[in-house]
Amino acid sequence: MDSTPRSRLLYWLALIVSVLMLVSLNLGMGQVSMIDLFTAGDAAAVWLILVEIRLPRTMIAAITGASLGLCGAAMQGLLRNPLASPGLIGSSSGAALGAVIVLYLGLSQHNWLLLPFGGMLGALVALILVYLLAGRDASIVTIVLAGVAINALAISCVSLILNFAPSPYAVQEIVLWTLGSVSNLSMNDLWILLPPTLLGWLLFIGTGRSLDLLTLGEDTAQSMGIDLVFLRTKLFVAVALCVGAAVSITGAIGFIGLVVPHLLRPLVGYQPGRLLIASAFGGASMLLGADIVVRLMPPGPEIKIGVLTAIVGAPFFLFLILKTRRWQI
Amino acid sequence: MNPLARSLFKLILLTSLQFVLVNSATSGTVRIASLNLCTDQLVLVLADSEQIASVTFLSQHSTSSYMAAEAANHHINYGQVEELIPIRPDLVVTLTYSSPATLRLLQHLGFKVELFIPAKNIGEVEANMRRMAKLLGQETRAESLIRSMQERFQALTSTLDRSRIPRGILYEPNGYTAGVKTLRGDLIRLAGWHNIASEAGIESVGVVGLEALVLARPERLILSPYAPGTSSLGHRVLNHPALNKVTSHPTPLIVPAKYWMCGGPMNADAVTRLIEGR
Repeated sequence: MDSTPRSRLLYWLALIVSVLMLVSLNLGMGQVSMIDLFTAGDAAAVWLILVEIRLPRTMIAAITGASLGLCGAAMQGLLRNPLASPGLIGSSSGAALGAVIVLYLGLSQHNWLLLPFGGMLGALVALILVYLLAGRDASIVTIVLAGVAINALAISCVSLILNFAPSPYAVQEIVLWTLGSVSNLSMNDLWILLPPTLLGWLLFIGTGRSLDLLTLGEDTAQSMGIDLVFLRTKLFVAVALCVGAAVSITGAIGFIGLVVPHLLRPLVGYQPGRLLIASAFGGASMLLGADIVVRLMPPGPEIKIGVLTAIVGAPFFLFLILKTRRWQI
Repeated sequence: MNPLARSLFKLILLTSLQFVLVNSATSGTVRIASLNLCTDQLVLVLADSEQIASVTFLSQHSTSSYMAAEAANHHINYGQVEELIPIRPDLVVTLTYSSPATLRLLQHLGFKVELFIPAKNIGEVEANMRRMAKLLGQETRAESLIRSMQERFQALTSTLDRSRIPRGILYEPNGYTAGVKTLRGDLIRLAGWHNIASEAGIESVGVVGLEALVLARPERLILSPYAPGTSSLGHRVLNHPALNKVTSHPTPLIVPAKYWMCGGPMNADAVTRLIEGR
């Protein structure tokens, strides 16, 4: 590896993720840290907390954040649209709808794979709908409008299904699906999340160069041997796999896929290909950081993690709108 | 139900309704309507059948209502005031938890309303039973029910092995638990458990986090599924592997929700279950 500033960036990001994961493992309501393994009277309970409660929470936050950052970067590159991201163009809420249908109708009791599958299918349908609604080469505004419509539709279907769900707890869980949460997750959830996510990540391999060429315009990219239909299909399926699996475990956590690629883009020399892996690390850092802040809050009902990502992300979204407006005027 | 049985049923219902109307007009029998599952239970256990004008739809669900069989043939409501207008009850009973708008509307329409405070211990259960009995004119029935309930508690707790006090906690979807100042906490104490909700600082109802629960080392979890067989994120935490690994008992103790969600003679069944699971 050369030691240009750009490859050093990845080392730094990896270091940040590792430190945040370590902090996350040592932070919780139980006031237990790794040191207690050697000093506490009840080391077995400490071990249980670290391995069965904190480890899955940390891993799921890191993996989900990475997926959202990666998907945001890929969609912004593919659609050549600075506002494309899983939250804004409907794939997160589509995934939430798919997962809600599977979970609350009791289908996942028979086969746990159905839960991420429902999420994936929902994300894919939402993606394709937005793409068809907005059409090829759609303007920034058209895609966001199509996304707003699909988002609204998916979220109201989520509430509708939760209202009719047999479980008496369903209605109060609307907020978990629309804002997201990583608390009280277990290793079981990690095992559900992992296979579709890894499959999705694998599909991203080799798409970096195509995304780089796409910055020259679709026609130029095609003339240089990029099969656009294949690339689009591959990335849509990859995004659906990653977002579908993540949302079916954590709910729809917003703004990570939007903010992270923008923050990192200048640092990778505005190359969409390089942005992919950097955004994965960046997304993991952002979600891990948000989850750490959630746990640093005073005790009481836990703040949903999506609230924090939105507090950071929504002003950023407004800033982006102002910036694009200035360009257009 | 086949058509013949249904028309027969309707006939019986109509004649009994007529009887009720005549009866209430002449002898002043109080016809009562209940707008809450817990007042349903008291009405169904204390009132004569013709005294019951309406109970909630929940009272017919066998998972939430102990008196589901008794509720089967009565008029049901969904807690809406307009449902009570055509049946003209003499008295409406519900819990103090009811929505202020409903209560205002009831009073505005001239209904006589009696509010019950949810019982926080077995003494308050008896007080609520006596109060309901007085409203219904069923004092002797209430006294005999209370006496047999006390005898059951006496029999159950006198043979209790108090040399061993197991550490337990009620654990509900989303991590909710009940402390000493709740009916369920009182029943857990009566059955000779040490309720570790108190160690988490919870006296009434509150959430105990997974990590705090693991550190408190319960010997056995007490679960009381309100809607068994349904899935939700709230239920997910009950299946967390850490919970199975921290308790010394391999399986949680299941107490059906209908035994102790409301106060009444069925609370003795909850204590029986809690003692069996010690």
